[in-house]
Amino acid sequence: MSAGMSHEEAWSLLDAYVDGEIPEGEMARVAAHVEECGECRREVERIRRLLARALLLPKEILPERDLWPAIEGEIGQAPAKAPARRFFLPRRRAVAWAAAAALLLAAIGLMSGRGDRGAPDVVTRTENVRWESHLARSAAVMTALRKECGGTGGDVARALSASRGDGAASRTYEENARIIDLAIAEVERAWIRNADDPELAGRLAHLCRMRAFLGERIAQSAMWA
Amino acid sequence: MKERHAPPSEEELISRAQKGDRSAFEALYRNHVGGVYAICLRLCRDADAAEALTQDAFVRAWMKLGRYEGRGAFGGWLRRLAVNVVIEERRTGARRARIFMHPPPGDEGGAWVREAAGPWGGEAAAGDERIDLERAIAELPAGARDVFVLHDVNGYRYEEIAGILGVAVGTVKSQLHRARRILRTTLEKE
Repeated sequence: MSAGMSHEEAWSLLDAYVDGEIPEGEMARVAAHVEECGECRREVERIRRLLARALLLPKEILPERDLWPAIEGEIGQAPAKAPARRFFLPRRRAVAWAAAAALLLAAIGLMSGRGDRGAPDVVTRTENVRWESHLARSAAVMTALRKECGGTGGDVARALSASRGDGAASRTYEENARIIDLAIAEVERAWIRNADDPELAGRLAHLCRMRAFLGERIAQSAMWA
Repeated sequence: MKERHAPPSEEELISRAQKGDRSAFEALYRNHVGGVYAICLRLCRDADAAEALTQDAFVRAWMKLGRYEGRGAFGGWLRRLAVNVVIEERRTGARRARIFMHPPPGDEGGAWVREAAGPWGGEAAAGDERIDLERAIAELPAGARDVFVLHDVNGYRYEEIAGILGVAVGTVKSQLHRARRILRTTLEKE
């Protein structure tokens, strides 16, 4: 028998034995057992046959489309050497979030009484935003987004009660609604591509609730005007 | 007659790319996209997701090129980076959660699995030994598939895999044993 190694012990080590991933001394003991044991020998042969098939798998598979144009578009705004680790978000999601976050934060700013610059400026500013700077700020933006979203209902209610019946306020709400619609469209586009993303779905639901709330207030404002 | 220049070596391309030369980086992309995409595809089993992950991996490679010091093959560095992108995406990103999870209850071996085997699907491929193995790998449970793809297809060592996946070496061994057992059973039935 093989230097005291039981069949069970040897059997449990066969994968590592074939892989050469056990210490030398133990290798010799397993090898001695395998030589004597037909069952272990057959098992080793079966593992080796599988590995031989795995080795024949192609190491390279080309994607169906050329990814370079998209990669080039992204790295066009990034330095080759990263001095510090940037916050990483998957590309499509990051862009969608950056857009949605920028629009939403802008909308929240307008709704909470900081909206006298008007929606068109906000949209123009958003269009001019560089995605790379958004990527770098994604973590902070998303944290702010969550925080701000929590207080949005109250902000809107306060803004509305302070300017009830004011036609200008009504126009502001409509501008805000338009901005939220843009944010919804951004998230929807991301969601269509990643329909199983529960976070995106949750965000979309939240935006829709905000939109519905704002719509209701717009209707009330129109009645008071 | 025009003098023909030898194509630039990989070292030269890397050096130029590290200085910000995008055309050199494009050449590196062309040389290595197949290897990066293959590992992403086998780990995530979805062609669209694998394309997105490959793209993310190359963008990250560009950002980190300055850290590549020439130790080890560039292709290996890239593939390792791609594996990290896949694992990180799995940990932090819910967008592709479905393709990394086990089949939903009641759908074992059903539509989910057929979809998972999509890139290797199709009647024309039936009976092809390589395709059979690709399909069988795609149908493995996630943990077993990761370890099999990393170890038996891509040649990573147990300890490396444990580090990449954040699990114990013992877990790597048991998942590999499980993967091989399932694969052999599946392939021997065919």
